[in-house]
Amino acid sequence: MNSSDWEKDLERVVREVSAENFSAILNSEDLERLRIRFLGRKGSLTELLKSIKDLSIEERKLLAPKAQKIKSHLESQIEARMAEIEKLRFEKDLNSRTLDLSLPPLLPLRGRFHPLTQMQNQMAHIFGLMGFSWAEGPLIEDDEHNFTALNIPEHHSARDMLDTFYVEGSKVMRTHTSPVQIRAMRQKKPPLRIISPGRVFRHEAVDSTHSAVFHQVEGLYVDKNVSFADLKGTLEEFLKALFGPEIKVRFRPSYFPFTEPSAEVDLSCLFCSGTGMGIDQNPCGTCKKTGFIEILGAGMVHPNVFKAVGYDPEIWSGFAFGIGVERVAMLKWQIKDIRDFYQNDVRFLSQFKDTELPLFA
Amino acid sequence: MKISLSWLKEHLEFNFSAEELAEKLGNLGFEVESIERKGPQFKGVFSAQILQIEKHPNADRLSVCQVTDGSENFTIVCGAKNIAVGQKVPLAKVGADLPGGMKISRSKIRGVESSGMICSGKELGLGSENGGILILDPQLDLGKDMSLALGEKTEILDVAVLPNRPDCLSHLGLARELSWSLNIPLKPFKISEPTSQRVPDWKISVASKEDCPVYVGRVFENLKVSPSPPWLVDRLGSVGIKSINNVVDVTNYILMDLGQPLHVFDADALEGTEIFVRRALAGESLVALDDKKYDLNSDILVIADKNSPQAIAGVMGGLSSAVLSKTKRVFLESASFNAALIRKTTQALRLKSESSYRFERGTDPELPEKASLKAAEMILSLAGGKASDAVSQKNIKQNPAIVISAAQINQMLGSDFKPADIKDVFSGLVRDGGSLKLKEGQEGFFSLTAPSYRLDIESRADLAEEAARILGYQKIPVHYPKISFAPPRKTESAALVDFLSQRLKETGFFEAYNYDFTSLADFELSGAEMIKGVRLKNPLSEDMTILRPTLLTGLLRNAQYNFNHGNFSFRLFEKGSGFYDGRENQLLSGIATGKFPEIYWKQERAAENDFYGVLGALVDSFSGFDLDYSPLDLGLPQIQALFHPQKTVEFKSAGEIVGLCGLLHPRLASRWNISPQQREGVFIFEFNLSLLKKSPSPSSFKTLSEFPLAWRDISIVLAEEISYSSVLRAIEESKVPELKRVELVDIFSGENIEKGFKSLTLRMTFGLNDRTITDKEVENSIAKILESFKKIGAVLRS
Repeated sequence: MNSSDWEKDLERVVREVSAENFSAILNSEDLERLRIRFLGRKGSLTELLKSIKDLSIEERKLLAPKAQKIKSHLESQIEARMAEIEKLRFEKDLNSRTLDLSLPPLLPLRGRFHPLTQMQNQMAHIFGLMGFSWAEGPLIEDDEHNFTALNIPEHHSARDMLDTFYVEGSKVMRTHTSPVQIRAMRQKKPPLRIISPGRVFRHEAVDSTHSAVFHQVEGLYVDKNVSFADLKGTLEEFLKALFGPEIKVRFRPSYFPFTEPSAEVDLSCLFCSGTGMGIDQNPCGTCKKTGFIEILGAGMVHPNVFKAVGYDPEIWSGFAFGIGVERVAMLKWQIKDIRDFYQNDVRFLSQFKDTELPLFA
Repeated sequence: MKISLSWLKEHLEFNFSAEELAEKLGNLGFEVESIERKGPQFKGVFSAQILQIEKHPNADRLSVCQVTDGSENFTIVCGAKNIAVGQKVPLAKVGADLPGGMKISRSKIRGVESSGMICSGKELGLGSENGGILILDPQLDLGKDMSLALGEKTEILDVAVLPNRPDCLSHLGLARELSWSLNIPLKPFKISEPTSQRVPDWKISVASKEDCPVYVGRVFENLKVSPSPPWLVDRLGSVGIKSINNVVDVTNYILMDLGQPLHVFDADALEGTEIFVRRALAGESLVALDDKKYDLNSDILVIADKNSPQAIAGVMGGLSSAVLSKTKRVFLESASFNAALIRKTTQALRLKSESSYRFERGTDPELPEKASLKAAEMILSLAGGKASDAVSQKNIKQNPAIVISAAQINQMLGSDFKPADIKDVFSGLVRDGGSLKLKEGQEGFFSLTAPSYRLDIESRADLAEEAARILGYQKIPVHYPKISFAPPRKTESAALVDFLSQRLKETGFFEAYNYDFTSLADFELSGAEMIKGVRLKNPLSEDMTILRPTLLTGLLRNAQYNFNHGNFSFRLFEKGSGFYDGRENQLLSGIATGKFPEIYWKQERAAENDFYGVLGALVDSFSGFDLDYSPLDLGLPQIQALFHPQKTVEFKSAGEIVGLCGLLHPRLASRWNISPQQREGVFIFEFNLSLLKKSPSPSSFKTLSEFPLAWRDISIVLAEEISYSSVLRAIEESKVPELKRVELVDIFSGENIEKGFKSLTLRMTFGLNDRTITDKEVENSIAKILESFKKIGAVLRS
């Protein structure tokens, strides 16, 4: 090929290139086809550049820059158009609503703890922060641990307070978690600070407020010089942690065979804020107008209990308390029927979403 | 116990309301469970008769009545429909007070003057139904004050008296307690020795002073047993006691008034003139006042005449010696019995009474004499006749003296009570018995002997409680115990249960709580042997007779409940005790069925609860615990029968079976109607955590290789019955260290696969730790594995 033929070819390529309407190319495939037509392995511009080797050095010096110029022009055109096409493609996607955002999302498969476990865990957590360790005992107990060592002798009317299930072989279903106190004290020397959450049994007809099976969180603290004032402080802080700092706590005299003095602990009513009147100006149904609700029983460990476990009541003193988990859960979630806890309807169980913020360290 | 406010006022002068009284009692430890108003809550209402009824000239619905109270006529405007001439009705005269603060005044009603109101029952506070005007008995005299016919106006408080305070099971007892805490003196207790003619007394013989420390007897003659006067019937009725006759009612009155149970015998029904307080002999029996025959034994104390028991001491009298209208002579018993003995009796005979309720809690040994005297006074005044002197046997033990200081009390309570205030409390306690000694010249040291009725005061702690109660629990400050820096710990078993519960929750299980009791039928269904179960001696009902050996029957009941309520997809687990073969095992069990979500618009995203899904949840939950599973072989006997024999695996820890997981036995599924349609089925598992190692092994860490891995998908064909575990074993036996991972990509049978065969596609990943693996090395490894496959008849799929 001589130089004038080559130049004619170049002019033809230049004409072809300038004839292309880049803005009419709307997708990257068409643009790629164009690139291959000129710059592919057998593209017209590529062929032309390959054949430049047939020319003389002077001719090459003269013509090569022209070819390079048109090549780089073409390349930059393609590149610019490619950027444009990309931009258009995103714009189209970004401006069209093809996903129905209101369709139900797919929730991950996640279970929940039973509301009584959630409640018990909350209580145990707070007591844990106050330095109480855990202790456990069997559900089938003997008379000694469930009654006698707790200062409830055989043929004592205090046993009437504890309707009991009897099991073959002169054993009982524990009527409270208090036998765990006895086991713990016999196992370990004082000082001692334990809670024993667990299941207890009462032989009473089941109705909306009574269950033959229920749960308690029992606590025991034994040390030197423990006083009733310490009991008040501990339970008041516990109840504030559980129900909020604004609640009021009241201690009333009561009787439990294993504590002396004994106390019933009341909480300012959660529903009428202790006013006794509901929002409708009718007497509050939860506290029956009193402004307070019974929440737990407590007292100073009876000297006879210390004697039964071999602690010297002249040296050691302590307090004990017991909270009904069902009762607190029913108050907290306004559950009217205690039997709901034992039905295990998944629609019931899935309502307790464990939404407490972990505010305590 | 029911307490009448007006009755209480006979012992204590006070003028606060029933509600205020309830609060004061509550602060002393006596919770008032209810307050009920009794008797007329009105004044100025008299019986009257309707003489004439005319239509009201200006109102269609009203009428104008002429009524008379026997001495005066009144014009009354009335709106009721149920009136007629001649009827007797309650008339509220001008000036009358009606319940709810309504006061009757002269008024013009649509132009007609009405000088009073004819009342309905509701307007008088007698019932809530408004059934029109209250029509009175036609025999009733005119002009009677209606409030008198309705008995005394009072409030009845239902007071919870806890077992340590039997001394407060009476009006006197509570009055005494209030007198002490409020510092209001009790009204004096007036009784006088009967002065009428005396009759000869009887002999009393008490076999054991332990069984019966005090026995006081008194004989009455020429009595006229008749109905009680209205005030007594009303008084007893207001606290829930039915009137019987004037003599029996006196004993019940004394019981409620002073707290001393009494018993009266028809003396003519007794043989001889000697009363024996003794243990029953074997073979003796008694038909008691409840008309039931009780077989007695030597653990039971009786009151007998010379021949046979006439009463079960402290519990109930005999029917044959009951005081009836024909009775002329009466023997009155006022005694104190051993509390534990009476309690044993009530439990053995399953028989209780108001008397036994008090005796088994303990009664004041000083009270029987006073009570007998007071009863004699009342009987003679109500039934006439004459009485003997009291004959008594007494062996009263003094309460022990307790030495205590104010400082000790303040230390126990964490309080700052002044010695003088504590002294006041103790002085009040011994006002009606007992004694208080002070240490000469030293303030705040006490030696206190509690009064005879305070059987509960035995130790310093009891006295500290008395001080706290009277001075007020609210006066004790709040203090915080010192805290130890040793972090509190859970028990290992509690930690294990919490840990596994948490993991199951993370895999979608909801926690269930069931009772520990099950029915015999459910117990048997599980496959457990009856002889190894634990039965309740006193079950509440047929379906709760035995302690559960497994948690699964409860969970199956839950599944049934949920199916019946339209919930077909769930995963439930439960932690709890299983009782079997003399052991209380810590179990963790579960049930799963359906899919998640039950309904989803992208159906392919819903996950099915199938065998592999449930097994996977367990494998994940128990990871770290060194468990292996294999097809069901030995199983666990107490739950075996619940599982499908071929679609179940057993988990082993150190060779011991700790749990099962599998498909619910189809027979049980259909029996309990929990066979889901078009579903994989119901899957169950149970682990005995008591057999499990308590803590999982710590996670181990291996440095990741920096060199790239190479993977190949290999499809092999093998006989249908060859298990995947055999395939894995063959791979393992090929001993190719370059093989890093094997994953099952697909199982296929059908087109191009011979019948009775299946094709598995395995993705094998190879690599070396020190350099990049070459293609050649991968090919060699695969060749070795294929060679090993020959042992199980597996060949490369062509």
